[in-house]
Amino acid sequence: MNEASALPADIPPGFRLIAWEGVTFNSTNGPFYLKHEDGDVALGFRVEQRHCNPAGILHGGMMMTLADMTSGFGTSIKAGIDKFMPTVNMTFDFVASGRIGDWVEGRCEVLKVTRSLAFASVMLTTQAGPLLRASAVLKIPSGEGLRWKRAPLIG
Amino acid sequence: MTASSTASSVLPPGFAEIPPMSGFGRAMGPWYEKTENGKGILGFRAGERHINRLGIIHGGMMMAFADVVLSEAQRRVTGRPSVTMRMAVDFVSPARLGDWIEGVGEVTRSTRNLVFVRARIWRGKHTLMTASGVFNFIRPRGEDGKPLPEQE
Repeated sequence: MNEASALPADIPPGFRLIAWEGVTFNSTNGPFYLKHEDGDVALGFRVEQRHCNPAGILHGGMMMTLADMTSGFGTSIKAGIDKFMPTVNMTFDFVASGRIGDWVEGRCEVLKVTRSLAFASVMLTTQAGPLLRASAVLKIPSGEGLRWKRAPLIG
Repeated sequence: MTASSTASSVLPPGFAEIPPMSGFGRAMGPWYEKTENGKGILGFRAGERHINRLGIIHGGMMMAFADVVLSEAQRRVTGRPSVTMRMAVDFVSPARLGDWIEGVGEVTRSTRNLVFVRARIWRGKHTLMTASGVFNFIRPRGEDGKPLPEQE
């Protein structure tokens, strides 16, 4: 079995599995997928029961998680910053609700990069349209910042 | 048993586990609560499934906790179910594996349809996050999925 065939069939084309190692928040709540081709950067996941709240709709915590990851990955890739950038502030408008089976994907626009901060705008969507609008302020560490290694992509 | 779950056996006094009510709550719990001066203080012990690869509590986890703290504060005051409409968070200081983290919220205003809440999350003497949220009341639904009649 080659690596590409390991991805579930319902993952949209262009997305690759982010293969985080060990037990972390991301590996517990994932799988998450990254698309990076032709200048398009997007993160996505498929909504399951374990991502939902008591009302059976996608938990706000999961939406904010994907928005946080989208701003981190998106700003890093688009602005070419190869450091871990801690989030300083995020603001969210929950414009719709997600349901089990939905494919949620996030895209990020980098508004401004200064010496120490990056400002990003994030939108999460499903097949039904906008789900969450977010804005993020990220800190660009002086020096190397925390040591980290990008997770490999599969698929 | 991992080092972090050994530490988690020590629960600060007054806290009791909240029964997990949802898939996400079960995956990220257990969550704990105690009542102090009529307010619900929520808490959790940061384990491996809450951290990123740098050993810091994931921003998504902190924001999920803030969402729960804010909505619990509004539920205690109004007694009505709600959904999050707007939320803002400031990451004041990072939290790490093994930390015991607490949070409490306060309703600033409640209107016919909306409730405004702010919250603080801390570890010991250190503020980790400040948050605010606007919640939209929802009509409870019956078993047939239709909204129940409004109760005054």
